[in-house]
Amino acid sequence: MKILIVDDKPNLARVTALALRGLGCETFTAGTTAGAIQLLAAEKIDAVFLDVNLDRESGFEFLSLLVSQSTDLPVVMFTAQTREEVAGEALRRGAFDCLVKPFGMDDLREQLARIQAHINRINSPARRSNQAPS
Amino acid sequence: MQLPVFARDIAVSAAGKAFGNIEIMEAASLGEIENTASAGTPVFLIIHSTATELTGVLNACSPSGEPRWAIAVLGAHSKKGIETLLPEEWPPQLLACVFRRIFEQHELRCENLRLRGDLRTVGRRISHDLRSPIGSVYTSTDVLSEISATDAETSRELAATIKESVSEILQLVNQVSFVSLASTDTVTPSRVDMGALVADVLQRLDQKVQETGATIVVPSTWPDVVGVANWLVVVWTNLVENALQHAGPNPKIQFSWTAMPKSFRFILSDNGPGVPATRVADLFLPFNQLHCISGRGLGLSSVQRLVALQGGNCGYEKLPGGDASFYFTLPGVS
Repeated sequence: MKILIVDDKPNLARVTALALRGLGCETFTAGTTAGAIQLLAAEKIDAVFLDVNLDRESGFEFLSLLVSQSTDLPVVMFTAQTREEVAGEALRRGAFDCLVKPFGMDDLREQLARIQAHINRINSPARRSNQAPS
Repeated sequence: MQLPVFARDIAVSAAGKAFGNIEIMEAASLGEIENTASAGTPVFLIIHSTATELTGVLNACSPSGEPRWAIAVLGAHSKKGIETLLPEEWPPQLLACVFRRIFEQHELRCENLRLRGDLRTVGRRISHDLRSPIGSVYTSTDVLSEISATDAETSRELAATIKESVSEILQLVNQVSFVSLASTDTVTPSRVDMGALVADVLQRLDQKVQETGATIVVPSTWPDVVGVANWLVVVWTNLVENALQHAGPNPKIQFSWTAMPKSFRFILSDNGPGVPATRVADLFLPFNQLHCISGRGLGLSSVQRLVALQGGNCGYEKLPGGDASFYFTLPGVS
């Protein structure tokens, strides 16, 4: 699975990437939405892990942009705020899920399993035949 | 500002008596006041209730959001919503006392706003900013644990130690920010189904309960109360965790409640050794006094603050059979 991590805090981006690579993912990191857009254009990304607060940019607004371009791309929001403060807004804007910092390996494992199940559903033959032009 | 002549003379005399050596300025408009008063200079404004810019003056705020000036409104009649000093309250000596009180109140209000802002900063910004680096350490140690699982036992133990320490720091950050925000945010209490709430708390604490082998006894019915649900979750969680920590081996924890004339008393008792008599007095030490002591957890002080914010009180007593009993009260649904 190819995961794009969008977080303006390099330490967190690095450790999240390390953890995901430990779980068998290929990872890419971006500190800005511009960098993220470039990577999304260059790589076939399977999921995005996106921080809610990106210094001067809004993670929520980038989420809305990503969802408007592809409803099939799972975007997991991560945040240092509480789940109650963030989950409502994130899910309303189309986020796949929320991860509250700090998260551990088990949290990431669980997210990856959900993402994989989502990808399998999208790629299922039944769904593909529903979408095939008549 | 815009005072009739006779009222002006009395006001100037009273201001002199109240504040001693004071510079008297006259202004006909809000703009004139802002132009003539230097930034940072305390201003005491005396205005007549018929002044055209009364509302603007009363609502004026400094850039930091505090009331701009201490204000005394003099008038011939009471004005709805505006505290007006009527002519019978104008003897200079009496007026001087009132002016001093108004000024002190203004200073206290400004300080209160600043301190509440500080608390909000702690509750939101600092705790949020701390969670990011703490998160890095936490996730790093989790990765280390996995990587070192097949390696040296020492590495795993070290990683476990770091992770536990980080969890403690996180818990502290969460507790402080929660109580800080509860103390400063405006929240309206509402009807709470206490039975459902307690069930939720016990579900969240299920793992800890299992680890201690505790027996939990709950009543078959619960009342509805007036409160703030997520605060009550923290109250009960802290009380149960306190009981699990101090009740000793094979703890038995019992929930109960009693109806009082306009409130309910909720009780959590355990079969532990209880609290030494010398520690009972400061068991629920108010949160704002915690800086006076060290080495004390925040749990029960957080309970005290959250219960007080909902109009209740809390306490401890030793039951006749020897069980330790912690209780708090809450208003009932009218």
